[in-house]
Amino acid sequence: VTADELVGVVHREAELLDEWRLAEWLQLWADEAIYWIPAGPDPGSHDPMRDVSIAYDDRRRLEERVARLESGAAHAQDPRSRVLHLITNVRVLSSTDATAELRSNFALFESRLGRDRTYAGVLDHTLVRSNGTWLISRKKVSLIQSANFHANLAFII
Amino acid sequence: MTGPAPRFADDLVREGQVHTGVYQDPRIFRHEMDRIFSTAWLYVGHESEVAQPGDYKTTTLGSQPVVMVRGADDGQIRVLYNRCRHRGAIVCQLDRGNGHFLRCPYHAWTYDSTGALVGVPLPKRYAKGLDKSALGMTPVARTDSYRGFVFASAAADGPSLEEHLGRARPYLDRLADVEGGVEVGPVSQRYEYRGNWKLQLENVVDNYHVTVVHKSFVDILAERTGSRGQWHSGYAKDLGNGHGVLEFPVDTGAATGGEDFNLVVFPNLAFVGYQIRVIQPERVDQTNVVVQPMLLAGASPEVNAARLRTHEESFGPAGFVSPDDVEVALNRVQQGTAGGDPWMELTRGLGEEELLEDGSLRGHITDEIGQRGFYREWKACMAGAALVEESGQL
Repeated sequence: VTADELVGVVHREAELLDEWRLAEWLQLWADEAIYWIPAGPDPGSHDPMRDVSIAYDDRRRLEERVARLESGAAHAQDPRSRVLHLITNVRVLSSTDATAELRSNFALFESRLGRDRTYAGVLDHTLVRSNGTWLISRKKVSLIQSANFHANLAFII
Repeated sequence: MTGPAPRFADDLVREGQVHTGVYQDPRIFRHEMDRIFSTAWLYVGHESEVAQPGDYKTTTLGSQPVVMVRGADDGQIRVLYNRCRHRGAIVCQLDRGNGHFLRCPYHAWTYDSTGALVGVPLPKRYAKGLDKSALGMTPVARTDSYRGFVFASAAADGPSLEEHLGRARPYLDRLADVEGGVEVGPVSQRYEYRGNWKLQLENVVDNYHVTVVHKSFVDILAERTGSRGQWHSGYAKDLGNGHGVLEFPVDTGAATGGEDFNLVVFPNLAFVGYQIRVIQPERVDQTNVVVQPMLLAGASPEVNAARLRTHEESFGPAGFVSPDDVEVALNRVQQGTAGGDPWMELTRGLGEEELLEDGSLRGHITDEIGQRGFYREWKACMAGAALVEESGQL
């Protein structure tokens, strides 16, 4: 396993989100999936068994989230946000032939209805290899704005 | 048709009509801060949020920062204005904390967990001495709790909390009467919108919009369950004192997570299923919302995690429901009401209400009965508030 191969998954994911290719984005995910955005002042100590999250999607909810966003009836994303991820400082925390843990920093520029917002934080990706392909089984989004009052996080980070 | 400009705030509410000035006029907002948020019983938090001696939680009552703190020695919950009696700085900066002492970061004036001033540095320069007993953190005039829900009122006189809650009490009882009681965790979901604070309250007791604004979510649930659901069955009620409720048949609990009503407690508290929602006015056209799902103290971690997951599906800034309300029912109404005919409709079910034995008014769930009740109370609070121009002329 090369680091480039693993880092490429994280970059690919961001590209698909930025280009709003959500069906392809879903294909990056494993069947057992968690997309998690902790709420509150300390994402590091957040316990999703006890603390409410901004989002905590399993595979089914991820599929429903994408279906909703593409339904034409998700008003908070009609028109949709234009987003651009900058992913940097990618670290491979651990890797085997079957799984890998990556941590990266991100800046996300979002523009909608003439209003620009910037989000930033740390991404923790868990990747699993399935039939020779690396898939995302877990993505934790630790926003530096996790405790803020948010205007609209209906797009996918 | 629009008539002369209203001269008093209470001119802005008629039977079945509301004037857009209630959302748009900064003078109205200032009157609301004075007449509603400086007198009414306002929700501060749940007792379980300050479960341990010395625990505190900060929040705002209207425009005023406060801290709810449980005395480290006596275990009593107090609500204090969160400012130092010396130069006025906020004493407790964090959302949550715990300690025997609350220390102002400016000059280190130090209060105990009852708010009493216990120490100031370099005291000798107060030549006549400093009467520490008169310089404790000021308590909000009245604090009371009902079934674990803590409220405070800045008015020394007025109806008791129980009187104020009135016919909303049985609904709070239903939330509180679970085995082991309810528990509210330290983490909240938070969102903001560019609209007046009242729009969020109105939206909570509006069932008419559900299959329109939330069509995408209704479709998801239909896909999942194979059934379209009974989205418009049940009752809307005006409970008096500005409180209103939507009551759903129990078997449509999927939409609310299991509890079967949406409740508005005047002026700025709502319960949506098992969720506490506090609406914090910032400016006439800017509002913050704090959302906390209630957990079951007597239930397993798995049961509570499932409650959190069900809640997150719909609510908060990334849910499948709340962002669409923010977009349509809050932001777009605020934008739209900047112009056009100032009088807005609130007549669904008007004249068809049924007077119940307990004094509540009941209508079909899609009726605008809760909103009319809210504005009746609002109008009473605002009676005689003059809409004075900046020049000082009426």
